[in-house]
Amino acid sequence: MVKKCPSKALTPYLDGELAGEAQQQIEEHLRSCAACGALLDEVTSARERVRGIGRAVVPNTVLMPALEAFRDRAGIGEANSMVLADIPEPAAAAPAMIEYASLDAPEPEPDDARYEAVVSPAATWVDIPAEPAAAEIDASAWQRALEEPEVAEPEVAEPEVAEPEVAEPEATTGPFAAIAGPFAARPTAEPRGIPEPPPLPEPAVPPEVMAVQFEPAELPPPPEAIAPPEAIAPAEHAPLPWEVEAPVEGHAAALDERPDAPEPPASPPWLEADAADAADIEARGRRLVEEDLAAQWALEKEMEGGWHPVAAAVTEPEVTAETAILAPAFHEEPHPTDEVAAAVASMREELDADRPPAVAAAGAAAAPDYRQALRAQLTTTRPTGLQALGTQVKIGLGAALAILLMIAGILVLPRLAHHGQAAAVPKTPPSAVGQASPSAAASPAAAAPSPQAPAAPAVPALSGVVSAGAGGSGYSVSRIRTGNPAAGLFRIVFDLAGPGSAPDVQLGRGSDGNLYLESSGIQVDPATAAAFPGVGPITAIAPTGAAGTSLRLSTTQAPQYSMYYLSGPARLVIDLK
Amino acid sequence: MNELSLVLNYSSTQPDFDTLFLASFNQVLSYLERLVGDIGVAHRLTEGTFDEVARYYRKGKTPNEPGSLMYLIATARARDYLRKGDKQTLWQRMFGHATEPTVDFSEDHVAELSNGTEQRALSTLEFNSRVVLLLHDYCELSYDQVARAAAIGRSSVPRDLDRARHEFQQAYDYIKF
Repeated sequence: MVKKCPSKALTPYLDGELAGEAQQQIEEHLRSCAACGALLDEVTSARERVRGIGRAVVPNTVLMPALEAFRDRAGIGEANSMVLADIPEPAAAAPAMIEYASLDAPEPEPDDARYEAVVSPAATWVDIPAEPAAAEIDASAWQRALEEPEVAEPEVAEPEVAEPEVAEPEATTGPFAAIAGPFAARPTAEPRGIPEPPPLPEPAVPPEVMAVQFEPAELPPPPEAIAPPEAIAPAEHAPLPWEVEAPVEGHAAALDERPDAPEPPASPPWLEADAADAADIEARGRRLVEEDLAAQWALEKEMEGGWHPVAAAVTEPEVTAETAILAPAFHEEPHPTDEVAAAVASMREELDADRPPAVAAAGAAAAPDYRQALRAQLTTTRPTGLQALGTQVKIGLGAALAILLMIAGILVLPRLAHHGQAAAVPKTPPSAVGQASPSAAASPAAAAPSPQAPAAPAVPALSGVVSAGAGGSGYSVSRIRTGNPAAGLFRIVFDLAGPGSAPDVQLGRGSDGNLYLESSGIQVDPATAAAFPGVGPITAIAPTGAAGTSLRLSTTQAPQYSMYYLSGPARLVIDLK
Repeated sequence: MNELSLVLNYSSTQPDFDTLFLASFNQVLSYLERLVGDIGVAHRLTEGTFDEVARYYRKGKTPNEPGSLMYLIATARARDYLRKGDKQTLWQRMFGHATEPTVDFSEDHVAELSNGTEQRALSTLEFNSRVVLLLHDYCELSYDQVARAAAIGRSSVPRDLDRARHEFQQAYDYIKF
């Protein structure tokens, strides 16, 4: 019994989608629930109304012509039209059906033999395994689908296909063979994989005929016009020792194999005596050649992708160093590369040094010209000057040292300059105030400059600087005067003598409390300054800093000051209050 | 079971294109007319639907559930039409040309598709409710087929169908009485 009204289940109940028990429960509930009955009536009414809505009635006579147009546009062939009914021959129908299976059925495993039979129906080495039960079902269903008796005619199983000498017995017994006769005719015993090639047919030619055919023919006699190898003249010059010694694989061996090659002359006695040296020459020569070739290859590799003059210069000589060092007689030029010539010369020198004098003289007599040429090249091509390695190393070290010095100078000099500047501006000692006392400054003798007197103290940093002037220069102080133009106002006047506009002048208070007058355009005679008597707040006037350019006005107090120029004649006026 | 039996089973259960076309053209045309409310548009959409369905039959293939596929395509085309109308792309406007209808039926063949009270009541439903109601009650598809054709879940079919029926009945009663 359903306790709650199953309003959501009325539609499935109406459509018959509920199971038996649930449907019985809904029926029992509907007997006792009027509301659910009303809902069911509503749903039923809606369903019936929708079902009763009219539909289009286009006859097939109208649709059939359009059907052809749809099929043509979609590219549907006749084989898909009532699919297999129109296929008359089973031999042609079987591959088509298998192709359908490969498209519609689930993807078989790759190692399934049937899959390969489907995807490659032309392969004759894989057989579709016979399944009699399934084949019977297929055959019956196919016949039902076709519904045409002529398809099942005996002509489907063609007797000539199932030939006894080819078909396996089990393949011809099942009904599957009756459906797909050509497939049943395929052999089943062959394993998977690449089929064995069929045996070649036996030759139809008898053995005796073949023997006659393969009998070797007589070769024509050699022409007499060809000169014998002995007729070729040997080399005109006497072979050098290294022509016959230390044969190189390939080149020298090929020379030895020439039929017309002359017999090598007897080696000089010093070479026979020094067989070990000859082997050493060969080994070292090969090593040098290999190193040279390796360097050349590396350079070519580095310059790969474009022409480079260095690479071109290296690769330019086509004559290989191997042939040059070991068989120089075959080249017109004495030697292609300087390095190889130098190596050969050095080796010869070593041999001569270790060799007895008599043997060395004999060797020198054997090849005097070539040795001289090598030595001449050695002396002329030895890198000298800037090309020498030691010189280049020295130049490099010097350049590196210069760069280091420049860096050190850049880093150190600013610090040194700062240190010197700090040392040039000493701090004003407390005793300096005492030295500038009026008693000391009042003595003209004490204030008089002397050639051995130390330099005047530097001007300390000023504050409260006032300026005047128009940029003139070349003025000198001719006289210093004082006066009191007003009560509480003390005036000091510097009578100037000079051309042009008034020079620039600055007046400020130093850190020691004194007033300092600075001007680069006014020269003050120290005697004039020293002759100033202490008057008013000015106790003394002394030159400071550069000679004659700055004056220190020692004061007893910290007066207020102002400065200005008076013209005609030029006067510098400083008022203190 | 081998591939051959699958082919035969498929051929015996899944209708080919000719059968599908001849048996379903009227139903699809009516369904689309009930969805869009215009016989001309429904005619064009129906032919487009069968053109698209026919492409699934090319190269000897047979689609699985071709009936559901057909209604799915028809529903999608109707939805696109109701959303976008007859809007054409620039390419279609420049290079497209009007195509003559393939199925040339007369007005008598579609006389039953008149706009009655039921059609007006259907037009009051939202599109998804209309689709479910028409697919199940008008086209008589099962719940599973409705789920596939409407691209909704199987469990939501009875719920949507129940709601659509109630709404339809209420709209019909309102219009009728």
